[in-house]
Amino acid sequence: MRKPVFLLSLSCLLGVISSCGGNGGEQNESSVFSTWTTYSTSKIIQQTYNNNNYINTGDAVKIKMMRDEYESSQLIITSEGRQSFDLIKGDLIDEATGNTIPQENIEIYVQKYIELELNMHSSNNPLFVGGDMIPDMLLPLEYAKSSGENFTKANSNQGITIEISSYGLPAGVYKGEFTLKVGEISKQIPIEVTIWDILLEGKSTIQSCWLIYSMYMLTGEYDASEKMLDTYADFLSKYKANPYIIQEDVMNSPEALMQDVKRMWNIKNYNSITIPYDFPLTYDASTAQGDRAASYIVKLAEESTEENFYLDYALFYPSTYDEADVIAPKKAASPAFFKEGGSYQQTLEKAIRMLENKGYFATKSNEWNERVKKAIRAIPDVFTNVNLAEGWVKEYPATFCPQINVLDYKKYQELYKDYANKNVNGDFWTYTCCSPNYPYPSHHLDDDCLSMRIMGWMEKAFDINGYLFFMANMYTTEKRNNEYTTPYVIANRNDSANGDGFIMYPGRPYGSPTPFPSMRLVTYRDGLEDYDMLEVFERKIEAMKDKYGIDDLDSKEYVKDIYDTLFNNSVPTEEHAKVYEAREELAKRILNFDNEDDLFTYAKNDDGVFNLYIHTNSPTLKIQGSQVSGTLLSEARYRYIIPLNETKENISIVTDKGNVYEYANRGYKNITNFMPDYDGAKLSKNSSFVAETGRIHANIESVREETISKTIRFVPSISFEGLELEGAKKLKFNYSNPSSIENLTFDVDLVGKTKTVTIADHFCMSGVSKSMEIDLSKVNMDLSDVKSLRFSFVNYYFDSNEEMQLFNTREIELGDIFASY
Amino acid sequence: MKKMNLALFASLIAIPALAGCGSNDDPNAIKIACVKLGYGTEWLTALTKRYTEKTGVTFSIQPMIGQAGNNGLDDELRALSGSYDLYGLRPNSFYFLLYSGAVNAKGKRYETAFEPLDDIYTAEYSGENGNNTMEKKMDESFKNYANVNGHYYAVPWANGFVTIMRNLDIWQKLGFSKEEYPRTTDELFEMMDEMNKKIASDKTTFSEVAPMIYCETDEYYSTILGSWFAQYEGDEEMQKFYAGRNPDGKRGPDMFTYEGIAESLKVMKKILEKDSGGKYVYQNEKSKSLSFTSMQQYFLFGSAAMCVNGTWLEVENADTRNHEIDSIKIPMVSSIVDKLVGDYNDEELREMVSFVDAHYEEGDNEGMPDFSEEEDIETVRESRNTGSVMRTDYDHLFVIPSWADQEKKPETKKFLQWMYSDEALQLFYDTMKGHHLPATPSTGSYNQDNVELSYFRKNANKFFAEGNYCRYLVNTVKDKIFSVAGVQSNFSNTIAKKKNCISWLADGMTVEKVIEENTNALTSKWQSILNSIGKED
Repeated sequence: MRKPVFLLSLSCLLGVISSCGGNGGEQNESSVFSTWTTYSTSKIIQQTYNNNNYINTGDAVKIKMMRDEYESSQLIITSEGRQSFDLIKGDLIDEATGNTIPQENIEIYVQKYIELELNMHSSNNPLFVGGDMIPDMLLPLEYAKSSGENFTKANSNQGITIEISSYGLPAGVYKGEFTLKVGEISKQIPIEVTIWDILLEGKSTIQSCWLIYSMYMLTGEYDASEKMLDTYADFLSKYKANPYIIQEDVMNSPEALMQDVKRMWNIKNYNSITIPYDFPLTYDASTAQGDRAASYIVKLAEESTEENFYLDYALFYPSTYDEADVIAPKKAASPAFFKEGGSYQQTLEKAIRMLENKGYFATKSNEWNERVKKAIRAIPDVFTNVNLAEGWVKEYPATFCPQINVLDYKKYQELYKDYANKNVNGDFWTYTCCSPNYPYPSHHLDDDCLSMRIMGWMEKAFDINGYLFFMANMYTTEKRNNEYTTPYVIANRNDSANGDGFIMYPGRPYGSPTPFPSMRLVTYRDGLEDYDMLEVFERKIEAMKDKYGIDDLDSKEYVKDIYDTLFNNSVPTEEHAKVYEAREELAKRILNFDNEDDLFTYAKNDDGVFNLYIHTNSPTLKIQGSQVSGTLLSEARYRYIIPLNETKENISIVTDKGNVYEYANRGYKNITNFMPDYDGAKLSKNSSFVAETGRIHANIESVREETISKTIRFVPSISFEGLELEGAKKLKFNYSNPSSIENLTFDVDLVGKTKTVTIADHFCMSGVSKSMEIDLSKVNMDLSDVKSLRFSFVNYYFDSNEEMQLFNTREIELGDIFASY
Repeated sequence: MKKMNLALFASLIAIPALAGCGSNDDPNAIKIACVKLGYGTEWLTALTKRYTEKTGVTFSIQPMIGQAGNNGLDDELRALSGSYDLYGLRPNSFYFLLYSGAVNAKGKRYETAFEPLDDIYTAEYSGENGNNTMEKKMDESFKNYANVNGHYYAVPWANGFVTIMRNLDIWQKLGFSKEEYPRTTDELFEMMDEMNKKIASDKTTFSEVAPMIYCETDEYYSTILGSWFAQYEGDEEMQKFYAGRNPDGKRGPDMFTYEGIAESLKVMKKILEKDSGGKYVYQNEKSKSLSFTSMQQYFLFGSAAMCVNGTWLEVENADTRNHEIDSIKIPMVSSIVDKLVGDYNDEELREMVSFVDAHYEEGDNEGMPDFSEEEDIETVRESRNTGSVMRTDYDHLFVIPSWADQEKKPETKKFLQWMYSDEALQLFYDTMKGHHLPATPSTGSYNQDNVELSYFRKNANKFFAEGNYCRYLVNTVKDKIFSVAGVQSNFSNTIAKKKNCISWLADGMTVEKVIEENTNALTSKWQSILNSIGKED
């Protein structure tokens, strides 16, 4: 029998008071305190024992952001005594224009702490240990004051998050001061907000699916009504977390879904319509089950208009197949569902037939009908996998959603991306939950926020366009879900990871009509806003490519160096400053794009010759002091091709408007010089090669050795000896997969006298050409020890019957390898 | 390392033994929860009683029965809860908790989940000569197990080995003398073939007798897989494997591709061979149906000449004292000749094994067989010393939770330290009728005046004294890839198969397939494994 609501309220209130960190505890009345600021990605625990290890960014709060986003900073009070505090907003004015940031665009939060019982993973972030009070909940200052929680704890830190919204604001530099009152002492806090003139037009391009469970609403908010669920949905959308509400016994009808969609449609961040149908393992599209699933699609089609084309934002998350790669019954059922022509695709076709039968297409234009059918067939079926599911990826046209740590190899990033592009219009998602853990991005309490922010950059780099989180509102403990649990206090609720399953906190006990965010939710949003900024940059590059008719250039070349400062595959940096430096550099590049010369440059390996391509509206250029005329492509569009030599001399470019630009030449040197009589290649057993000028074609053979162990460990390979690698910083080469059958997955190794180090890995579908650039600066090896550069392949794979098979002959065509020193 | 027969104790899940086993209302009594497995808890009763007599400190002992009891205690520790001052168990979460660093239990922060015990390991016992600290007395491999990141956190309360045991009555009736024993695996199979012939020729005398017997549902063959692996690969390679590395020294899902693993599995496959009718060639058919304790009984009473079993046998089954049961070294894997410099047949290998068994010190090669190379004698010696008897029970540990009663901790630690005094070691020895803790008294040996050693025990203690056994316990290993990521070191990693590789081999799986199965399982979850252990540079 449930306890009466009154008692629950009381016990919750007591829980609230006891968790505030402000009341109780030592009664030290000292008024001594200090203030400092730090990055919003850094978790400053309440205890002070670690204070010497945090980055202090000074007394002033400085925020830089683009238009229509949120950005925050932290102000930390380190107090000897228990004292009240308040932060009073001041005016933030752009002196150049007189514009101000309205008060409603400024939010001040008091950080609330939650106690860590145990660092849940033996390899988790060592910064956080059992007993630490971790900042997580962000309690709006007004609620903190009204509930008496605006007090520091003696000998402790108290964090305050200052968040600015630049929605609707023009670019500019806004300055002012806020007044901090701690006890009887007032202190002015300088605030500076720079808003760059950068704006993402339209909706955010990365989708998301965050599950909200109605069954937990009662324990958190004492209210599981539709209205409260709508409130949660709207709340999460503000943080770019598109909601998927899971009702206990009921699936929302198509009509109810449409109501929600229309209610949220104009929220800029709302870009994901998760259709609330869960496919059972016994799902049969030909039955009433299929009718039900398809009915949602039909409704979305019927309601779609030219302006509001809902179908483009629809998706399914077949959660019954969640993590099927590690759960046997789900694994067995997956092929039938996800395969080409399987029950999922049958559902989509059923929806089209239902529309036909209703006469929908008869009243529309051919063009519209084709658009609708295409959009229906493109609705993603988000398929979560814990581990690499290589066989499935190659076989099933599903929207794969591996954990982010699976992408810790370039070859797997490429594998998922290439098959996504081939099969499902590039739809490719990722997720995190109780795993992975540090050093991979996580939402865990015993991990810093930086990794989740950088995950936004990773997602853009890996061409991921969706993120899923399995539960946002676990307000009780999953293992004891009939037992009331104070959601402000318990860090580990499902016995697998601290913070897993909840990313916000109930507002009702504080009298708030909406829940409260966590630092983790805010950082997730910030990461996706960085994603949006990268999208802005990418659109500018694409626009340039369109303008100048360039189709063989990857826009990522323009941000790769920034990515390299932030992460290595899916392991993010731990230097907080890097992400802010990256944002500034990105902003600078975006703003520089808008130059009056329409200048656009890139370097290209044209069959062994490195050329600098310059595109501009300037008919002549002075390059390294010499006048050069451009090739006219079309009106006011000129192209210049300048050979790049091996020196690292920067190229100076002056346009006819007198603007000066500089291109940083990396100075690549050919270190292989392939010729028909090339004999520097060494091959594994049974493999062979043919060399031509500038390229080498190798046939790589798998081998069955006399024992299974030797077969597993056999390394098919081609190696190049005698290369000048000492002092090299980067390697660059083109390659292709001429095979019509086999994909290529390979590692690039440096084979030394005493050890072998893998420096890169790649994946390439059959019939595709790619280029690779390898950074040697961080290789854990003395390059003077290198005996050879080896391209190595795996000898075997396991087929769908779990039987070991050898690969067919794999072919690789390598262009000359260039090194820059 | 005695596994518990779940069928016997399933009905007692998480229910402690009845009070009456040392319960005590004294609030200052040291509260001990101790799992009751194959070794029982009689030793604990004796030790605590003596300690009370000496010091006046009292104890309240709560035995917890079987694997279920063990898991209950482990869950308590993992949840950082529980109210005992001392836990005696096989803690599954030992390494997990210590690798996690600081913990917050009962509202307080502790740097480690378990109390560091360096001080009691190094404290000297007064009145004892030389080797007079716990650390000096204790067997190296047990100390290594209890040491994490350079500190001791546990004290072992058991000691044992698993090997091939003989019922000498049946052994001799089947035509072999006590002094004869299989020196190589080929010889083992030759002997068992002879046994089978003898059995077939006299079905009255040898009704339902077979060369070997085991329990399919609770077997120890998986424990001795490590012996042939270790023999074939040698110490250096074994250290690589148990550090979670492949033969090239790198982390990878191909870590089960040591040739020694294949060789070990080949031997095991033959031991588990079945005829075309599905009957075991070498195992007693009753292996399919008996519970473990029943199987032990059948062995003692003559249903087989040999049984892979452990030193708990006499403790668990008093009938052992009434039979001539001894232990022999696990035979040398015959395929080791492939790794030797010289060219030898199995007969010659047997002679080399006989030689090193009589000359087990390194370099003691005078009189070695004429045909052999000295280098090969050393290799055979090293293999014999690395993998002839599987040392076990490293994981039967006493731990003091950091959150235990702070006022009682000093006394609890003193008790633990006293447990390895000569007096306590002797008391344990006397109580357990000659079975001893993994330590040697400062006097160099145990006093046998108060105990009449059984044949079994005399023989077992000889093995302990020789000290040349395989320390690579198959099932409990420290490296994170095993202790945290859950990779099974007993070659039983699988995506979907039930049980372990012993049952797979018995059901007809080839050795190659077992290795494939393990590789596939690791490949399929490699990202999860790396997530648990951290990616290497």
